[in-house]
Amino acid sequence: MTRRVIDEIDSHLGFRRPIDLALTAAFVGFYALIFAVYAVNSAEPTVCGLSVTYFYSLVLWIVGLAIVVAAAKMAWR
Amino acid sequence: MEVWAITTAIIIVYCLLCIGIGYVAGRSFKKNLEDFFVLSRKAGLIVVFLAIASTYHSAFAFLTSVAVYASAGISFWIAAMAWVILAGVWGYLYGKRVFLLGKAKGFITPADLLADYYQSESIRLITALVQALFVIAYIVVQAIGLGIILAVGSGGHIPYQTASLVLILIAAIYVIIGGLRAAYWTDVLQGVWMYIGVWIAGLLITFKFFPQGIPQLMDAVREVNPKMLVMTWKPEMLLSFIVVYGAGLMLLPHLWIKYYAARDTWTIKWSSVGTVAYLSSYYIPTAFVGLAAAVLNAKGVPGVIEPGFISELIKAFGSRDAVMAYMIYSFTHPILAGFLLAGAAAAAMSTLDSFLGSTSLILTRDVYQKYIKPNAGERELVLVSRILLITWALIGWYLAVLKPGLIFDITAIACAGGLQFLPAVVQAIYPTKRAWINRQGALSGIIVGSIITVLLAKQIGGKLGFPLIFHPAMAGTIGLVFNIAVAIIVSLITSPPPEEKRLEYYRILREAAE
Repeated sequence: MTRRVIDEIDSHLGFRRPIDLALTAAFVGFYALIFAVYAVNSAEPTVCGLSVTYFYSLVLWIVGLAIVVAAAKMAWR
Repeated sequence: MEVWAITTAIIIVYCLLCIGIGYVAGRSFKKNLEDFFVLSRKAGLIVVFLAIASTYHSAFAFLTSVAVYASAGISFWIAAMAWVILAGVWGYLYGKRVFLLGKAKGFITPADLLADYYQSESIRLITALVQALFVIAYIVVQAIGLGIILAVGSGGHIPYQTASLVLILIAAIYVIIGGLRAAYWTDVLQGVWMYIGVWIAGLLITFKFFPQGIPQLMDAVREVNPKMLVMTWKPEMLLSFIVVYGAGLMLLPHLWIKYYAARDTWTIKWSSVGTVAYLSSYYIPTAFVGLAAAVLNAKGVPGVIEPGFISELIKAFGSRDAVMAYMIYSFTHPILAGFLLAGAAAAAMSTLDSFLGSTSLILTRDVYQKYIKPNAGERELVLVSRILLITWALIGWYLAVLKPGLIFDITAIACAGGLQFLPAVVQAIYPTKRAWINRQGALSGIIVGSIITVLLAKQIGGKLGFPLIFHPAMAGTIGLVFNIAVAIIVSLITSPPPEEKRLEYYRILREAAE
């Protein structure tokens, strides 16, 4: 029994499609960029008076939404 | 008609509308637990999407987000944007699997799944009890919010305690009448109402004081306190907030059972996408109001608002959570204020109803039916769940009357509790080649993680005199680390988990994928 479980599950492990790997990398990159906010942490005004930090986070938000929509369209079933 | 009477009347009309929906929902109720709690697993995209979105966003989103913006500035936005995106993605990844397993095996509660996978009634009992206890914190939060909304909306004519009791009982009544079906249906109304309301409130209040719009607001904030425009939270706090509010909240029973109710995986997929967009964009108008409040609090407007008004609100309500309600009541037309405050009540009630319903469900099914009266009929179980629902509502109200503090902090306690189920859940729904966690490991991890979370949380551990205390989000994250370590170590030194169950779950998920 033990052998059968391991064999059957093992044959379906891992990223079966390149798109899964690409989207996983995109999500990891997105959260890495969230923590990169400390590198651009400034109250200096940019577009519409928004601080550098605020503007950066809004751009990042759009990127995050785009990744989720792409994931739903291309990978999620 | 006086301003407060108009505002209060509109909130009452909204409440009657919710009860009416509860009544209609109750008429189509089939008197069995599966229909009472998971809509016979037939909920479509609109219902699932708005039920998840409006349940996720509560008094937390409408009230405390403004309060936190007014003190911490955009740090809240950066963290909140990150945690709601994680919530949506994680909601899909685990929600789809929970749905498939729930449909295949007839699960209704979170404990059903964990008890079945780990073949352990102890895990069922611990899951039910731990979740029911942590959920109290979330019920308290909604009771606080409802008390603030009606007390402010009535111009102080209805005291906070009474206001909280009245609205919490209204939510309890419509769930009793129509079961969680009523909660799902009212969630649709509330989800739309609160979203429109928060945007109208955000734009009206911002442009009232800053007619040149966002640039003027930003300049004013920069002049008052430029630190409000940068990230001031430390990285470990940012991480804790993302993990606890993103993953932990989604594992609480009120959201978990929403996935059981879905019709199919397509519904879960697109409701997850909609949830991300809805939840994250919700925090944009609240940022405007919060930052505007910070400026007004610092400078005041002669004849309109006094500097330091937030301190007065803290004296009245025990925290700064009343800022949003106060600004809506004070600075918008009474009819609109009634509509907007009803939207705030919708935000709180849409979460409260699901919590009351789901908590009564897990206590009825996982404790009463399993351990107290296994032969109880469906009608008796529904009756017991209704009694438990009222009991939990009253416990939440009583604790809210004590004014325990900022909603933001109290919410984190409940979410940190939900987070302690993460390792056990991941092991169950991702059947991999090697099982890292077995029955003993899962049980030990949940217990150790929950205890550490409680002891380290400043609101609980602090009162118990525990020497090391943190924000509850941080306590929950530390609890999770210990949870994982204990779960794996205990699993390594005890017997391996059942291979048959792992294969069974794997096959259910694989067949669905194919």
